[in-house]
Amino acid sequence: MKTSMIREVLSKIFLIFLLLIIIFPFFWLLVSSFKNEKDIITYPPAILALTYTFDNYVKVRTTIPLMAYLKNTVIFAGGVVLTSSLINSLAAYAFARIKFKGRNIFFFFVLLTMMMPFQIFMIPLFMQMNKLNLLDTYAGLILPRMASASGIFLMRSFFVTLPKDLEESARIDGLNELQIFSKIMLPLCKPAILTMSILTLMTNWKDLLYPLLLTNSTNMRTLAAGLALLVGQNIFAYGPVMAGTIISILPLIILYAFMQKYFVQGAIMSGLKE
Amino acid sequence: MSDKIKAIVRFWNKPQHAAYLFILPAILVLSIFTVIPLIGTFIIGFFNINIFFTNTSFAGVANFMRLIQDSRAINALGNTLYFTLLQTPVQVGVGLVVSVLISKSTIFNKFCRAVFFIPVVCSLTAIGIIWSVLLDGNIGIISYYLLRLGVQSPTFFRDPALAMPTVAVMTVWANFGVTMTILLAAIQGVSLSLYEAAEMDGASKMRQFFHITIPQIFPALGYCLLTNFIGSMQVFDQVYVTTGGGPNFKTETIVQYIYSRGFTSPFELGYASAISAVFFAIIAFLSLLLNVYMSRKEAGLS
Amino acid sequence: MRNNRIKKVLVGMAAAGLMITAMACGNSNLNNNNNVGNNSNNNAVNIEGEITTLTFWNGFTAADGEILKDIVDQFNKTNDKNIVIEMDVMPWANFNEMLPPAITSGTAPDFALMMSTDLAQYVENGALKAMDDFWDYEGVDKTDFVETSLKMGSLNDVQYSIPQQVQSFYLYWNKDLFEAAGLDPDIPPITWDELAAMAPKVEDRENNVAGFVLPNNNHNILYSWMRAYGGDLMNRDFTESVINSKENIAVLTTIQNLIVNELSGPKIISGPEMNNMMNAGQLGMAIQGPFLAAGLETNEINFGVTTIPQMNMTEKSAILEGVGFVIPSGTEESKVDAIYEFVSYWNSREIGKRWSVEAGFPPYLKSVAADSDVINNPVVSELIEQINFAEPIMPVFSKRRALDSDIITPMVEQMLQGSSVPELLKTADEQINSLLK
Repeated sequence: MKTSMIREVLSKIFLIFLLLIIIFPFFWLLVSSFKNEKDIITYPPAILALTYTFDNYVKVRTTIPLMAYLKNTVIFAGGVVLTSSLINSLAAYAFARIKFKGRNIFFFFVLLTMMMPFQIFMIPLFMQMNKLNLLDTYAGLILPRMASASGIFLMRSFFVTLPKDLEESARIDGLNELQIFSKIMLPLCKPAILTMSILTLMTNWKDLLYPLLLTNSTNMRTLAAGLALLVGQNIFAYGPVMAGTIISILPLIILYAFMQKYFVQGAIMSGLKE
Repeated sequence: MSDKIKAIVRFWNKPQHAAYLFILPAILVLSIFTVIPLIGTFIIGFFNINIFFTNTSFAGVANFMRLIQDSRAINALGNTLYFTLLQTPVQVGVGLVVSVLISKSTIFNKFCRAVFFIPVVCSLTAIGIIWSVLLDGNIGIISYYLLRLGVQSPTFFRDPALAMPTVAVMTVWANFGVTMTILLAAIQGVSLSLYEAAEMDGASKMRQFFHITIPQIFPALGYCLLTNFIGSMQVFDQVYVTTGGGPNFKTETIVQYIYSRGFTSPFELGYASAISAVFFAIIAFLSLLLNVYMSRKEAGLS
Repeated sequence: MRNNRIKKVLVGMAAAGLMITAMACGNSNLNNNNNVGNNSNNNAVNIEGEITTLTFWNGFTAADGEILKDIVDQFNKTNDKNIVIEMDVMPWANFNEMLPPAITSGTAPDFALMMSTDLAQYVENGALKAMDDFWDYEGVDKTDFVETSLKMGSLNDVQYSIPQQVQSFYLYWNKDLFEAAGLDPDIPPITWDELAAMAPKVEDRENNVAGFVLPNNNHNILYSWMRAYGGDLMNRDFTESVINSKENIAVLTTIQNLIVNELSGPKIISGPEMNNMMNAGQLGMAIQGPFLAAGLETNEINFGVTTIPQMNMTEKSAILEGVGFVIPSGTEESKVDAIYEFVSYWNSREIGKRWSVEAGFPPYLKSVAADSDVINNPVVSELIEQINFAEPIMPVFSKRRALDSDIITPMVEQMLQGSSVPELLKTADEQINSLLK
């Protein structure tokens, strides 16, 4: 009995320690974003300061075009979510529920693309977008991501679990294929779509290399790319960078607070990239 | 509607034909924006192209020959493997331990689960910014506290020996929530009767862990290791933000090196593509190896 | 029940989305034009004639960038040719990553600022327009420009860049730290030897104070020191490396001794980190461009600035760099006149004076240098003196960036870790020669 109590106590201590090292940096970031500039880069460094200010959040709109970054990230990630949800679901439904010639070949083709990390073909993709005049545009950012193998895979494994012959009865009722998909199948997989959407939203919101590569001007940058360019340079103002970082992580954190279950499910089904 | 149009509509309405229309958008997007560029990687590697598209010339295997002798490229491969071998086992290990500790659904544990997942939701850019300032060797708060404790503060991201481990630990901090979540789901799927039987046989908790839990969750464990491995080999974001590849190229990873060859002076897109092609081959080979190893292990356990 | 919850969440998301979009749209005027918030109002005032909008990129992300924004604002409001400039700012390193693809994909800005060290590679690839006809533009006086400032923007006798500013690298010192070390706070080191002697004294381990540092990514300090003692990197035609010389061995050994043995400062530190240390009052001396002064003032550091150290007082040398206006080759011909209007506005006595005095950059227009306000400004007059003997190094060398980051940075990092200096120079020598092939 004693050993299990010791084990309990030890594990609690360990967990509390972990909680602290997770929470502290965010707390520090939040406090720093309200500090005056000279209190952020100062020696000796301190977690708290004597005076605080909202200045950084005001300046964040002029020193860094943060609102542009935010808008771009919303349009990019949101655009990808909306388009890929539809396209992935369409394909997944067909792969899961319809027997057609070449189904296995096409599905294998899709699986193959899942194994091709973006970094491998980023250079030709960049050149392709360049030639198509799609660099530095919303279309250029969204188009390549409008379909994703992992999304198709995820949705397919869900469609497979729906009762058989669901389509048959619908066909007898006179619905055409598209109607069967939109009126019957789609509504049944709302949770799966939500899970996939949240996963897609999170992955694309966080993405750095892809938007960094495909945008040139400051006005088109996303949050990750825009903020990354502010680090390690002769930056005058750390305050706005702190405020900007808070603003960049806040939307997803808020979403997570409300929809934790879907984030968790999405993580399980995908094993996010490092 | 004329008869011809009716016939067309009827043709496409047959499920086995409609299917082609359903998969068309996805196949199109994937072909144009993934497969074609991938083929492009192999082709462009045979050319000398710069970002201005001037002086484009056929280079044959010159880029690949150059790659073999490029010590910086080999260094990048070594660094990437170093990072992966540090990060993957540690992250999966931490994820495993934590998921076991919080496997009971108490309020405290649920709170832990929620909090541990928060860094996952944040971009690695944001996390890199946070830790760059916190771990600044000169004016960062961590080094200051270490100094107060009488310890000579290491310079973390600027110390050639510590830079990569620091990036690895930071990555574990950021992402262990994912591994924890996956393994937690697997652990909760293990039937309690197995544990009860073991209890009755007098097995200690440790024995139960190693002889019941681990084998039962092995597929999930293997999945974590494999995806983590592949993901770690592609590391870029956090390195770009915290160290930029330094000091002394000690944290320069393959993707970082590819990026620097292609997108900083002198913008050698051809050479960068050659590196990408070889990199793809290496990752594919290593993942295959790992996959085979894990499957054998899994078969051996069941 | 679940449907209700999902509905609530979706409503919440939609509301958040609307809020964000509203904020973003409401600020789009501020965003698209980082500074020209009053654009739409101006358009209402200049009703007649068409408005020429010019996109303008540059790398002024620091305090001087705010003054630049303000000047551009002022131009937008006061110019009588209906020209509106939209400015876009990104750090210089990334500017060089973003501009080339922008040029090839046709999304390049109408004009931009460019560092003199980067000019050559763009010109070699035909990416910039010649600007010789600027001298024919109304009101432009070529003789007002100091000769060296023009040389920095010219390649093969063609003017590809018109000066926007010149800068050199100066010695900043923390007077309080000097006093604490027992040194006279008003007397900075004049020679490199004096600096090497003072740095260990100012260094204070216990209080985490460093005396002097050599950043690993900004090599102008190293190059200045080397050249002061007669060493150099390459010969005049950039055909051969001369880096492995006994002068350079001596200089690098001194620096190595300073950092590695006397521990005057951290071994691996980046330029911005050096600035941070200086701004936090944790660094005794730093050599940096003019913009550091503004940061030091904001952080209330008691500092002084003076000419960069020399070997001796008779043979003075310093590095001159500049930034100039360039026009990407894809810019429409019809916009060139509008661009010249702004360039000549910038190079007028009034704006030249403002930039010098407010941003702290030495003038390169003779009319500005002769202005009494400029002469009487203590910081600027200190800076001007150095410009008189400063020279650009490696002008029009297109592989400068590759040299800096691929060869010199590793050399510096290893030197500061204690590796053998003669070995390092030998390796660098070989690498430079193969770069030059």
